[in-house]
Amino acid sequence: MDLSEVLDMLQGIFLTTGITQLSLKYVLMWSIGSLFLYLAIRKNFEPLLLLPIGFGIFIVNFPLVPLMGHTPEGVGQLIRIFYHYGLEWEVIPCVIFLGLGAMTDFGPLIANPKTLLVGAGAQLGVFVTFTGTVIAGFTLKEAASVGIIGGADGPTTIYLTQHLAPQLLGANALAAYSYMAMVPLIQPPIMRLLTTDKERSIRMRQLRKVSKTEKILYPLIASGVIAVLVPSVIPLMGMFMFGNIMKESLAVGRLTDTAQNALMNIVTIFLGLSVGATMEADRFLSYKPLLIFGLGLLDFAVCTAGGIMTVKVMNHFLKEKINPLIGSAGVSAVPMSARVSQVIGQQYDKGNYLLMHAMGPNLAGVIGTAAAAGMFIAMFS
Amino acid sequence: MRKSLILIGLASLVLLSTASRAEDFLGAPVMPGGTTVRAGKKVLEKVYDLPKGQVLDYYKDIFKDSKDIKFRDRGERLDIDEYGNQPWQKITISENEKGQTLVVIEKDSWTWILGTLTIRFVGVFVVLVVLYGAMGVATSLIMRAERVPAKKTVLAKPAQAM
Repeated sequence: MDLSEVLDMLQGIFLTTGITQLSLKYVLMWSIGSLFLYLAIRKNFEPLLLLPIGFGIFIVNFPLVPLMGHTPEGVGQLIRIFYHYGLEWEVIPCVIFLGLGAMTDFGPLIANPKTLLVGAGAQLGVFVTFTGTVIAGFTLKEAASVGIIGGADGPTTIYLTQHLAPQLLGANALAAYSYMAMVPLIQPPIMRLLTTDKERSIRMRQLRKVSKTEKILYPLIASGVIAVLVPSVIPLMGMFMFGNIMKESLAVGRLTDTAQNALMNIVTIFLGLSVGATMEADRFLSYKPLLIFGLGLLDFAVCTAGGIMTVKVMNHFLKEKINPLIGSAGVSAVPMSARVSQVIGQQYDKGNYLLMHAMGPNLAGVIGTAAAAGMFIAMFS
Repeated sequence: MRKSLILIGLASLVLLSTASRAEDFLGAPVMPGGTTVRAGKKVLEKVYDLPKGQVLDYYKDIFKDSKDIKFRDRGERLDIDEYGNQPWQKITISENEKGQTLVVIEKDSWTWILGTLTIRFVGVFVVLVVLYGAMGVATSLIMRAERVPAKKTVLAKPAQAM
């Protein structure tokens, strides 16, 4: 073997590495991925999702990595397979909802069903942002998928985006989860702006005890109503209610435990990694993701305001007033936004416990966001 | 008879060739010919000295394989709505008082957007109000059912005491 052969071999090896194809766009994406890793690890912002998303962004943005493409035979590469079966087939959002249902206690909502209206009012931002997104130059389907971000419900955002505008999946999911993590920063100023000291100090009567029968019947009633009125979201809501009835029945402890823990953890890993991996530099580095982040913030703010304003309107007709601070919990973000209501409420009256009251609109927000998603799907079908 | 068949054939060829060279506005096909009345970034309005049916046939033929297109007959006008990811949203075909056919291609139909959003926002309330009602009925039935055995127990106590 002479020197030229050795050099040829070295050159061959060198060309199979990604070094020659590295460029600035990759460096930019690494920094975006690292930012999300930092937020997850150091700031503890939604770490269960932002960490896999951040790593997904990082790992997929290297030249020649066989992760999101297809082999010459047309077979999907590793993360492409997770993405294809998990997200394109809309399996993961529904399984996540199964786990969420198995963790949810609908007691506060059953005890005070009036708060369902707050969950509907908090969808205002979803519809307002739709118009803003159309003005910004997005198509109608894209606008619907961006609008749903304000509902602060990650799986519903993914479900709807995959349905209507899969090309925006990465940006939409990232915006939804980022803003959900930032609920404690975004909501308080809006809550203070829209309420008076007197309103913030309203004390609400302790919620009644909800019987086991009611808790078991609720998922059946809710899934029945949703299946009749907005059937397009029954894959999500049906699984949510299935998880809940497993929990409330106390008859299938092992299944409930699996849905709450092992299954939920497994799908969360695949969800985060797949969503992160959709953000390849060529797709992500454009004006659209930036606009989505801007519009998402507006969306969140209007949804928060919508929930608070709905409570204020309701108070005109109610004998027993509702503290409008729980209105902000009408965006889903369970239970983060309910906790924010509690924290802000206690800043004005230390003995005021709003957490369980805020869980009502919080859960209503999940149903409201799903209903809004169903409305959008129906709009285009 | 033969002559007329040849003429029809030639006319079809001419029509086909014009269709293949058809222009587009925001991705929406524009029927060749006609006079442009208004042309902006978001709207194009053209008038044709052709019957409405002929213009409609042109668009029906163009969109025959498109699944995201809906034709809606509104009586005096016909709307072609696009629900996919195209930049255009609506084509309106109507007849003016001179018997000409007016075709308007719009990027965004704001009346439709605002109308549908309002209805759908109200729709979310309707869904949750129905759920509220159903829950109310179920709760009252459960409470009544749970109260009955409780009363029976109360009545049973004196009997036991005896």
